Parts: sequence; structure tokens; C-alpha cells
Amino acid sequence: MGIMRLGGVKIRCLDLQASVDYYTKVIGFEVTGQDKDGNVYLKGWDEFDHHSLTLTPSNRAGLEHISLKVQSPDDLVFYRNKLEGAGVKVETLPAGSEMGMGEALWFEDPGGHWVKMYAEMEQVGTKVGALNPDPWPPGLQGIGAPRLDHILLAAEDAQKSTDFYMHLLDFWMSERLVTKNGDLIAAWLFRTNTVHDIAIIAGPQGKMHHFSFLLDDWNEIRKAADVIAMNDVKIDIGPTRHGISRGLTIYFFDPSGNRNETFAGGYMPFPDSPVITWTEDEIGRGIFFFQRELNEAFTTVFT
Amino acid sequence: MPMSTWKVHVQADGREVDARPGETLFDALRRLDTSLIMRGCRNGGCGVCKLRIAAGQVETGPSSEAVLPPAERAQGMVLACKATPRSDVAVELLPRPVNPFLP
Ligand code: FES
Ligand SMILES: [Fe+2]
Repeated sequence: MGIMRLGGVKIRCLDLQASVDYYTKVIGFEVTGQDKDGNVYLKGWDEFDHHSLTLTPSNRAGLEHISLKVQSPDDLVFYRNKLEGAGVKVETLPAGSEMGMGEALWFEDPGGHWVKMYAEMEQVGTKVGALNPDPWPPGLQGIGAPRLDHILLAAEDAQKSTDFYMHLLDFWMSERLVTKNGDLIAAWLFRTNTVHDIAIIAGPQGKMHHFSFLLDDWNEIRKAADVIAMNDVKIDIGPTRHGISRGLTIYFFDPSGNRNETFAGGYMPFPDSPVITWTEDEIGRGIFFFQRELNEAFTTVFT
Repeated sequence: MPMSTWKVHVQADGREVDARPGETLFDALRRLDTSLIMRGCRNGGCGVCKLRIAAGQVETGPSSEAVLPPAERAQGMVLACKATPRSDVAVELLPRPVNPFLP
């Protein structure tokens, strides 16, 4: 029951064709459809659902909305009641608001991000299938990312947004970063057994820090870095390691300046795992474990 | 018309750098001094490289109206990563962006 995962993100693109080329040839996602409004739908090779990434033409960069997939239509009823009970305005979107998607709830989080919650999406299957599959399919392009992993959202009041996801949407916290006084700078939240599905950082309302694609291991991260560099993609930092989450990472930018990440590693948190706390004086080690200091872009570059 | 080398003049301190043919203001200024301008997305999305063209002509590429609204563009603001000199230019650097929401 409840939210299963970050099902998708919808991303604004200044030049749609450049973005489609990038997310297919560099990231290695495949296009599964385009609708009459020009939205292009994509998925990773190991995802069953119709899409996890929607690219939409826009005159601005950034995040249009995130999508959370729940296990059953009953969960939509449950969360509608819970959200409305807490004074959150919830709209219902009819089936087909995105290609292959069933009826959905539509609401705004305290950080100014729109959230779509849905229970049903057409399954088109993975590239390796569900019967005696190979470990990976032939003919992958670029990085060949198997799936979407997580997103880091900015919010003026990181505590308020974190409370919203934990208390109303039943996320658990794996790690947090706090000031000397214990005020929250950032939080890492999960519904799966990965170290984060959604993270929150103090920053401008409605903006996104990055969204991330899952890779297997350090070797895949190194290969991804080669692909990124060979395609003249703008790298922010990495390959490196996060102290927080223990993840292996590269930050880089899509053609509209939206930050992407490839992420591998981490560990398995559980709802009863004690929260891991990082203090402000160790922020450098927490964010970039090898460099041991933040780069300036980490706290200021959002779209 | 062959592409030319243009002078980029930093108003605050009078320093100058030659922009190579087709080079953005971002790349030219960073070559002069990496501390002059912050390194963000370099793709016109984040706005941290914004500056004002005090004199001269630039050609601009796609940039996000969330960080460079038309009203600012009309005042001569550009994103340095999406602006290529088409004449000698003088630039006015803007205050370095910060994140005011960090506790
Ligand atoms: S560096 Fe992001 S807009 Fe120029
Ligand atoms: Fe991340």
C-alpha cells in the first residue's frame, strides 16, 4: 500500500529537439511516445511503465512536476482524504493527462512543486523482458541508464517540505543535514529501499536542484563520465562520492541547464533505521566526500 | 564574413580580454579570471552568469525566461554563457548569486 516510487518527472526544455537528442543519445533513454501538445515521453531500458521522463517545450528551464506512483486506486482515495484533511487543495485529473496514465491526483507541495499521484500506467515492458531475461539488452545508446532514481527539490522552508512528505505522504528519512542549532538544511527521504527517492534542500521555491539516473557501480559511473565528456556535455562535478548516501556520482547539465546526475551505490535503509545526521561543519565531506568542500554551484545553481 | 576577435572590457576594473571567434562571454571572461563569473549550467538555464552589456553588440542563444525575463533582456542583461560578442563589448558584472534560504 502507499507510494511505491518516484514514477516520473516532467522537465521543461528550451529546445525540445536538442533535449530529445540528449536524453536518448547521451542518457540512453528511449522515446515511447509524443502527444498533441508536443510532450515527448521516455523511459529507461529496465523500466516497465510507459514513461518516467516527460520532456515539454517551454521558454523556461526547470521542473514542471514530479509523479508519484501508488500501488492501487484505493491509495488515491486514501491520500486525497489525508491531504484534504490537512487543508491541501487536491484536484483530480482524468485518465490520459499523460500518455498511458490513469486518473491522477494533482496538488502542490509546500516548496512550490506540483505533484501528480497516480496508480495506473500502461506497461510496455523492459528491453530484456520478464521471462528468462538477459542482464542487459544489446544496442544501448550512450550511458544506457536503466532507470530514473531520485530528485532533489529546493524549498524556502526545507523543514516544512520535509514534514509534508513525511507526515502526509508517509516518506521515511534516511539522512539529514543540519546547522549548529539543529535547523534543517537538507533531508533525504525514501519510500523504496534506496537511500532517497526525494530529497529536499533549502533554496528557491519551486526550483529543482537535480534529478538522477541509476547506474550499477563505479565502473558504470566512469563510463558515463566518458560518454558525457565525449559528447561535450557540461559537467558540474565528478565522478566523485557523496558522504551523505555514500552514493557514487556525477553532476552534469542537460541542454536547458537542468542538472542531471548519474548515481550508483548507496545502501539499503528501512523505516526503522535510525536517521543519519550530518552537521553543517562537515558539509563538504557530506556532499563531496573526496573534494571535502562544496563547489559554489551546489548551493546556488537551480533551475 | 570571417568571424572576428572582439575585445571584452570589464567595466569594474578596466581589464580586457580578447574573445576568440565564436567564443561566449562566459568562456572569455573565465579565461581572463575564473573569479569574475560563476560557473553554473552553461546552458542558459540557471542564470548565475547573468551580466549587463554596457556597450557593444552580442548574439544570444536560447535562455530561460525564469532567470532572464524579457524586461531584463530589454535593459541589456544577458546570460554570459549564451552571449557571443559581435563587436567590442563592455560588460557590467552583477553581484555574485547566493542562496538566501540556507538557514
Ligand atoms: S551558467 Fe547557467 S545560465 Fe549561464
Ligand atoms: Fe542526487
